[in-house]
Amino acid sequence: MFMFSCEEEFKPEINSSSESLIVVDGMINNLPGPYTVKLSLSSKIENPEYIPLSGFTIFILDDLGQSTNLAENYAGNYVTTDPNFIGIPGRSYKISIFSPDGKKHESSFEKLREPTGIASIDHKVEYTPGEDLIYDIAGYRFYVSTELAPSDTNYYLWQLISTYKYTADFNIYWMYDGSLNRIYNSDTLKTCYKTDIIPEFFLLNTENINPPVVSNFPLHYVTTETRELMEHYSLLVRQYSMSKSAYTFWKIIKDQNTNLGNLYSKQPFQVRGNVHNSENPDEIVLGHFMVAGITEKRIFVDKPKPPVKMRFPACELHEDTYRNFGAIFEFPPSSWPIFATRGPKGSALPNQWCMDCRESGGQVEKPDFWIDQ
Amino acid sequence: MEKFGARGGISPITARILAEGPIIKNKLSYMAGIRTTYSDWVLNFVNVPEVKNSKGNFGDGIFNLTYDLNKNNRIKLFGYYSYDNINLASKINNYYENAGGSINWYHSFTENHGFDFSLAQSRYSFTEDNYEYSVSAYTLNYELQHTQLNMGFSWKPAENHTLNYGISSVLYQLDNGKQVPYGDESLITPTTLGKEKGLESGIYLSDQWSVGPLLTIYGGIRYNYFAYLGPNEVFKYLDNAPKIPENIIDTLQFSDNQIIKDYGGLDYRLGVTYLLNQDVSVKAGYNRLHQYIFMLSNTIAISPTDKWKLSNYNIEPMTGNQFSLGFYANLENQKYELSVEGYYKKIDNLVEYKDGAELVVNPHPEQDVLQGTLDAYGIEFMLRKPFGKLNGWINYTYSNSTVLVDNKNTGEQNNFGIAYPANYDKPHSINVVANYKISKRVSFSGNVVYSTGRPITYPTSIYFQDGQPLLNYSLRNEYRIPDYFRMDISFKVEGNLKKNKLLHGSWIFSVYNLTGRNNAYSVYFKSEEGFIRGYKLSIFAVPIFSVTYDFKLGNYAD
Repeated sequence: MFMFSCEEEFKPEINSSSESLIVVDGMINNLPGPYTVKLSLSSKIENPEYIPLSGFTIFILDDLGQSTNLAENYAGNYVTTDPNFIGIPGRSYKISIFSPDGKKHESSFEKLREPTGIASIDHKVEYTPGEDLIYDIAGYRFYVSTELAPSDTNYYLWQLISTYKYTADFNIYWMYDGSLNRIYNSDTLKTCYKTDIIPEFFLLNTENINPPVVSNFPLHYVTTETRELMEHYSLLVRQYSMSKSAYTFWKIIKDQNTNLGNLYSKQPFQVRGNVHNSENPDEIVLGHFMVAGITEKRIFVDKPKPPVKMRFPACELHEDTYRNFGAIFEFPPSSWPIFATRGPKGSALPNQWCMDCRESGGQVEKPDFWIDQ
Repeated sequence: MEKFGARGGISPITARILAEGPIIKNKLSYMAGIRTTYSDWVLNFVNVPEVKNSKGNFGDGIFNLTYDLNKNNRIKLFGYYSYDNINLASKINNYYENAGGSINWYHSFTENHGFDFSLAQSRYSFTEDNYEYSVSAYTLNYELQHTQLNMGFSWKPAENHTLNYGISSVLYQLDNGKQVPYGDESLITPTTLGKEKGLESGIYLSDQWSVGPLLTIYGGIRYNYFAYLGPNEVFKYLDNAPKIPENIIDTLQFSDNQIIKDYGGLDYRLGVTYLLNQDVSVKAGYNRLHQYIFMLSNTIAISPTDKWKLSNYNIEPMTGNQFSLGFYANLENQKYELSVEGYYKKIDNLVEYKDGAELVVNPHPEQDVLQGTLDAYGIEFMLRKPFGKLNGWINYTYSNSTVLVDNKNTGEQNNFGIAYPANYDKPHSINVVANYKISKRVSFSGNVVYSTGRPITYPTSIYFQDGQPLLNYSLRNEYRIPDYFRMDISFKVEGNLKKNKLLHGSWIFSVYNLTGRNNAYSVYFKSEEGFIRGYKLSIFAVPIFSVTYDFKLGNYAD
């Protein structure tokens, strides 16, 4: 068959009632509160935005008939108010949400599972093939092992939060803020700490693992292509023990949202959460109220030792950076202060992140939990 | 056949020729034809990048040899080959191939008793290169071979009875192919999807009984037997549990031609035609059948590559029941023909991709499908004016096909157990064809095609969990791609109408897609820089002018 084909952008007309749906994002667990529930509206796909929902009344109820209320501390963000309220393993919990116009949305009771201890978090140097590169790129892969679980079948989700220490490449020599100043304590902006919630979460169940012990389950991979492993790296592993339905929800979410570049390799489908409109079960409510037993473990790892090489891009003092030094006087007040450094050939003006580590997203204050070496 | 004949046509993008004639007069005759396009050459002149980067090639050929051995024996040889190469906007390249051949032997024992033996072999294959994203670029291939043996008898034991009976057997051999990386940057891991074999056999008997001048009854039964054959390795799953890796309880090995699983069933049909009067008749029918081969398709890909699959150890055959009723009338002294036909159809064990199924590569397809039911009904109106200066027809069909997947034994559902439109469901369909003879040598033809767009599942909104954006989708097949509309016209100018010339020629000036409508071939979504964008792929989105010269040996009226 002979054909012309042409691809053009296309905005399908979506029924507006399926664009704005209530979204629940909340949790109760066995760690001390306050517990947070976020309410929002979903948005149009061509214009993704977080639309908080205000003015709702929310309660968390347990199977003994006790309830605690949540108060809105800022738009769409609701927190438990009773400082003594804490989730107790073995007890069941649900959420009740009342809208300003009197509609009630509720989840079903779900048992707060006894958390399983984390036995260890290990790391190994692993290599991944680099794109168009003649060498492989090294990095750390982290592995989790659990203690013997209190029950046979466990549904785990691991969420990871990384914190790393890194440095900028050059000392500050000059600062311009309307006038040019010589800086003597030149390393104050050289070392930073950055904390990231790792977007990827990890799932495993022990339905087919007997006895129910997870050993060396692979988690996140950190590459030497960034500054993360440059100095010292810390990983906080949060292990959630949850119900099968919560596990299934997150499994589907993970399957559906990885590989987003190629949206047509899987049969897409709607995923509904565990919160429902009490009067109208057909109303679609998105998101999830999670009831989970949590254990946490934090580890610190040193930077990889030779022969592992760091492959992150480093700053260099090119000819241009010396030649451009004069441009420091042309920056408008809105971007002050501007820093400059000094190299073997005199004063130089490289990119700001080469001297000010905060430009790469971190902060100079050392986190409370931080332990060096 | 007594005389050599040839006809053909040529235009800037296509050429075709067909020739037929005797080899031994009244004994042995042949027919041969080829068609081809050379559109790549033309596409290179079009100055739109997407068009320039698109390619299309098609070619086919047929060959037929008929040998009349004597009054009671005829032997026919038939062969065909076609290929079809489509390249869509430099993202996907599909190459399809069809080849086949058959031999038939017709024999009549007596005037009322005949025999038809046939052996046919065909092969369908495709190769898909998908290189939209270099890291996930792949090549995928597929092949279906079909070998069929038929032995049929036709017997008129009495003036008002025609019996047909016989046996038939089909061997299906499928190679589900391999997915391999395309290009150096692709990170695809090669996957082999395996081969399958199945043998379907049947024995049948039917009778057409003319009860009287007004009433004809038709009845038929067919017993069929299907064996899914080795060599193969199949998984055994827990009973009444979802067919997922966690529920595999055994792996079974089968050697070549060992029966892995077999199914049998009785098909039957019954039809009645009654003439109400000379011009009006009514026809009613019922049939039930089993099907051991099915097509897996989806609605969300840029270019859906449909794959045929066999019923197997874990996928049961489909069964269908259909009722139909039709009225047929000749109006105004046979100037017009009017017909209204309605049907209701129910299919059990329909095979559907399950929610979340892997669409491109599934080495164990039973893990990616669910079986459900299809309910379909429709009504078709047809008005035809077969003769006259102005002739043509108008056809309108309303149809509705819905799928329900709700397995009570395993608790598995598609679409929360709510029925959804079948992938091919197009409720409204209109076709109009008109021919008008302006003068002895000039005629005009036009046609209009309209149909509702096919169903699709759209991403409908974005929401956030723990700061991460997530996509929410509509119900399955809740939306539809835009409706299809196309109008084509052509003028035909005949060459001179003189008698006794060697060649009769005619010129056809035509415009395909006169309104230049951007009909959607597919609609799909991509994530780009954190945004989800929808795209529409159209084919022939501009009016296409064409001139064809048709020729034929001999005179206009031959």
